Amino acid sequence: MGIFRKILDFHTTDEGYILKERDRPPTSGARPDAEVVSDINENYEEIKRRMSYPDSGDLIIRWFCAQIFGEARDAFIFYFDGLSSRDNIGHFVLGPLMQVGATLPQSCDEITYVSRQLITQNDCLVSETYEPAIENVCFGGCGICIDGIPRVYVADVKGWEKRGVAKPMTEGTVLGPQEGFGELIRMNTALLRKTIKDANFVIENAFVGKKSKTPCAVMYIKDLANQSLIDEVKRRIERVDVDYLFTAEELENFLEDSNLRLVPQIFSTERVDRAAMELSDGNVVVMVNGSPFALVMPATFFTFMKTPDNRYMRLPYANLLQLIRYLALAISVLLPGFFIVVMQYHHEMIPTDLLYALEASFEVTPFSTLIELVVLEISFELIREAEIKFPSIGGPSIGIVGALILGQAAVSANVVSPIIIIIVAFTAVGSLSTPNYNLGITFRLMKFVYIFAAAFAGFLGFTVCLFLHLAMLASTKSYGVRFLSPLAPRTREGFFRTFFVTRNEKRSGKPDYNNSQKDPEEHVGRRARKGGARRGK
Amino acid sequence: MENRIITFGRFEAASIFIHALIVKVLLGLPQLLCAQAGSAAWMIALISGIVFLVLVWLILALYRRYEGKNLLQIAEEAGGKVLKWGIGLVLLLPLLFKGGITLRLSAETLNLITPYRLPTVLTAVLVGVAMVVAAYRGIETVARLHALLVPVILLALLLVVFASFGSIRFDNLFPFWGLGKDKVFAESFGAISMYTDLLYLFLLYPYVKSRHTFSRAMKTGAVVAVVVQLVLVLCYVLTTQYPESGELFMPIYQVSRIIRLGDNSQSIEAIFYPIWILSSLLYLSLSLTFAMELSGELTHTKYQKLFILPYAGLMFLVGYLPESVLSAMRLSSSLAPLLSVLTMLLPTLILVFARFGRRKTNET
Amino acid sequence: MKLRLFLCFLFIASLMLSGCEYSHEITDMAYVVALGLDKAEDGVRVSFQFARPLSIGGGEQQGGGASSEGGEDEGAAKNKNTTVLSISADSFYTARAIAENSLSKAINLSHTKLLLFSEELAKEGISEHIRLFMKSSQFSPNTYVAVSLCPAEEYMKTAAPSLEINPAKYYTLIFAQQNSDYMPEATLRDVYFDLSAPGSEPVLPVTNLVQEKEGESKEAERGDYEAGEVDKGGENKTDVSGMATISMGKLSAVLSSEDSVSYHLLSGKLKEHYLSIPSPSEEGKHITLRLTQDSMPKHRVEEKEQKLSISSKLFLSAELVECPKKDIDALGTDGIKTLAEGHLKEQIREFMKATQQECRADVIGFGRIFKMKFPDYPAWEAYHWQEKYQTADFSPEVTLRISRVGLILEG
Repeated sequence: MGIFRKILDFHTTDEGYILKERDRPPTSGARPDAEVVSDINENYEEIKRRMSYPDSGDLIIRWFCAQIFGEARDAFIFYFDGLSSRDNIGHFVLGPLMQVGATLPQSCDEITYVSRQLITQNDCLVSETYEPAIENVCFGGCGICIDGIPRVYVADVKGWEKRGVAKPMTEGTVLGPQEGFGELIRMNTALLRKTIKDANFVIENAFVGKKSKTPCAVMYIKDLANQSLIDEVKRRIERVDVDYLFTAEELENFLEDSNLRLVPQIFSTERVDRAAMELSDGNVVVMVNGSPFALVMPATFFTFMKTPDNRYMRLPYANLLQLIRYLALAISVLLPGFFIVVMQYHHEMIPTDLLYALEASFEVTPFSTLIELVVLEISFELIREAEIKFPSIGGPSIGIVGALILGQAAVSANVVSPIIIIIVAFTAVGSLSTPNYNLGITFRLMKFVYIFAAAFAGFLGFTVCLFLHLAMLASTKSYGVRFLSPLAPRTREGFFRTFFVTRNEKRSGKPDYNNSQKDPEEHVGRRARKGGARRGK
Repeated sequence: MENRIITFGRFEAASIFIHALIVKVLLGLPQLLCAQAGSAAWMIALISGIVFLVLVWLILALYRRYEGKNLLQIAEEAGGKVLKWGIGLVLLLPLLFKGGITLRLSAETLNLITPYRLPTVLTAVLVGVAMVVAAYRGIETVARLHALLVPVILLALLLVVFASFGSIRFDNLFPFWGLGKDKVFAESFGAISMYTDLLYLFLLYPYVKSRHTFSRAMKTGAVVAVVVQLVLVLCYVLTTQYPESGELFMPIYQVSRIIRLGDNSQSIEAIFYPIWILSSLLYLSLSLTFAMELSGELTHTKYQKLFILPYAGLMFLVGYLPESVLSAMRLSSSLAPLLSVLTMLLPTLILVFARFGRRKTNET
Repeated sequence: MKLRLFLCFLFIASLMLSGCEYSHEITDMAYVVALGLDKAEDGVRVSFQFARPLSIGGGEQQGGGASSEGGEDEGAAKNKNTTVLSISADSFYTARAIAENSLSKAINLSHTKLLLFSEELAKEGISEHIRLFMKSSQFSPNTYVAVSLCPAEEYMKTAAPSLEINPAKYYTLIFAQQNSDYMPEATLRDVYFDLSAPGSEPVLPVTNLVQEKEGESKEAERGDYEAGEVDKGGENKTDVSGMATISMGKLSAVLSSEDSVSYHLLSGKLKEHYLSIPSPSEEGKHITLRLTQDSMPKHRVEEKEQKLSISSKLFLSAELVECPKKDIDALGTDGIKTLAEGHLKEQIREFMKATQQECRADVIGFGRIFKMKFPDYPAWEAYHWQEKYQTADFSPEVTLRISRVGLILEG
């Protein structure tokens, strides 16, 4: 029989794990507004049910005797191991409850007595219902239940491992502070507060994610930021309808005017000084716990192109570098398309000496200019992605491999012409010099559109593509502000103050495109004093 | 001021006005003037420019009472819906006609000056698609594009003028009266018909913030346009000789062709290609957008974007009616006097009637 | 969203219409460096000189010689940087079509540096040809134009630059008249405008093959020679020197290099010229002055009793670079100055006489100055400047200033 069983088993197909249809989750019967009761055992059962104890292995429930008015009562604390600081629990929760309560005289009712006289931690929440208490415990608090007291106390004893204040990884500067945000929201808001030091600096708390309840902060300077902007930001945050949201980048997708636009409409920065500058300009900054990036709104094209270096460097050098950045951006998007235009349609634009040299080099390669350029551009994008993803030890070798294989070997084998390598290299350097990563990506992708437009219709296709691109940029809005402000629409700041860095004494203080509030006695431009054109959108 | 959505400001309005007026210079105005007056072409540009400026000042003075209103609204106030529709059609037809002819001419001229020969229809289709897309984006986007690109275009033209300094000969200005004193003065007053794009002045007001802003924008735009026109005509006259100056097609392009910057300079005129393409795109998208807005206002519909594709088709039809580029240019020249009556004289009369005719009616 | 998709679709579809058909890789084109036009029996013989980029770009060989298809390789076989293809047809565009048919690549004229007319063809008239090339968007108006005393085809095949490998650079440097005043600079644009407007006539540089004479070779007397007369030795057996004048669209005369200097002096285009005068004190020796133009010459054109009178004042500055000691002692710098002024006056007078009688062309452009006196163009046209110019009185004045005497102080 055993053999037959084995033969039968041999012919039976084991399908492995089968994903069952989704079951309705078991109803715990827990009501969000259920009140805490006096009976500690009932509270214990309720807490166990809500927090899946003992299934959640990191939830610690510790029973002890609390001294309340000299009387020993049963009590328990519950916290997540790893989230809370054990030292703080021992010193500021258990210690006073177990020992100090025995000697203190009764001065008020027992509910207040515990929170005001016994629990010595800096922050203590007294909750009548289970839900807020459990939320706080999930965020690093320590919950306390005492027999006979229909309350849950939560002491703020956060103590998880975190990254300290480090250098910003994506935005480097030569001059200026090198502080970057971390993942902890309170640390980030503290960094901003110590930089701005303005009593009107408001940090409003908000939560996103119906289940994750991720804390985020909406920050602005009260007497600068436009109130309707603040209201709009808060409205959009409230409108976010997801269960879980963990990072600022995810939130950005919800807060943008349109996800389908090619350009980003919210500026994100890792630098404390940059966020502070944007706040001082009357913008609103949103931060999310768990992400080191601050979201700034509204954001225009020139917000993305500025760097903190503009204010730290001496004026002529700052302007020179600013020009180089614009040039880099133009090269990163326009150079490949322009190259195709010249090589395939407008040969008369090439100097004759160069033309002969180019023809000699292209004569021996098998592919057309377009194919060579597109293949090399795609290869370069692959190398770039690989370098980001690869561990830091192996990262540089990707670049070496790419340069060696793609550059040297391809040219030596007469697969591509050397001039194509030069064009791709210039384009790459241009896109790497773009100050903002998000904007740089946008233009990196747009260059392919220019390449194909130029290949199909020469200068006409290239220019039509440029026109449509500018039309798209001109029609993009970020919280009601046109993306190309203050260039188009032209505002009081004008062309030079927008494009270039101006002297500190000439700067009027705040940009006018975001309709920020101004102190009337503050220094303003001469034309404004004369009652010139109104600020426009 | 009426309760209107304010969409763009002084710089945008001035850019629109300047560009609409200087497109014809890029197309062939200096050559036309040289054919009419020889070396005194600059005099025609100067005299007609001064007359034009006087007309603009007069119109702005008449407009003082109608803050934020375009001509249709003024006509409706003065003569009811009938006059409004009449004026609407009077302004719409030149917009579409000029747009169509410019579409054809820009496609043809682009083909002529580029060394490769794309089919003209393909060029026209590409340009047409771009103008349709810009029109769909709306009047605000078109205005922002003007604010962005018109300074670039003017700068490029200035570069062409400066670079041609080496080829200038002052004796090209002589004989001083060109083809004769009588001809110069006769053609000067006739040349006012080249300012038919003045019709944009009657359409821009609702989009500009205030009377003060509008007035400044239009005055600045008119002065800059006249100065640019004069400088370009003068540059052309100084760098070329009559009778050849009356024959060269695309005169500003020809000036850019003869620029020499050292022995190894190659084809500086390449700067002209994107400038001309951008200029045509701006002008055509402006015409189409305003035609759409005008129709929306006449029909009181919020679905005015439905007019875009039919109007674009109409512009193609009008543009491709003439057999060749020369017949298109001749048609445009022959209809210029009629267009100037429709776009300059008639609206001015409407303004005068609305201003003084209404007052008399109110008094009686 | 749908609208955006529709607009994207419109844009992409309209781009796709062309299908890349109208693009040309640079490797698909044959670039013409020089274009020669000779007279043929029933039309014109067009010679296309194509560059060979593989030879030029590779830089393997020196010089820019030529070899013709099916023709003789004449000492220029050692370098293959260009090739010449000649077609006889009734018109230029027919010849071009035939040439394109026989080539593997498309002909591209946008990098043409030189347009060369043969003497025979130039005598028949160049106006129509000039208009033809100005009408084409491919031709640059800054292309150099010249006249060849030998057949243009021969010149293009024989020209062998020895100091560069790029033939385009060779033509550009030679015809830009950067280093000497022995030939004028003429571009297509200049010729086009001067041809039609009364008041000036174009001048073109002259090219020729070097005439190798057995026995003695001609010496260039005071630098006065016509193209091809002087055997300068070297690999390059072509010469560019002197000027050809055009009157009413046709070649009227060929003048020497000395006349070309006079042309530059009168038109204010003189760069630098070494004036060599026979020494009055010592036979066989010379006084040499390096002349430059102090300021633009002042011309005055007046009509007195139905006769034109043209006076020109030239302002020159000179450096005494060579002078026998005896002349210094005898004449001093003042005497040398007077001698030079007299010499120049005579030279200019002879040149003007040649332009009036031989060339019948106002090459300097005195008519441009005189037309300022007329109120309008019809009056100017009715004056018939061309005829009046031929009987005009000419009186030059030369003001020479010997500003330097070199590193050895003398005089």
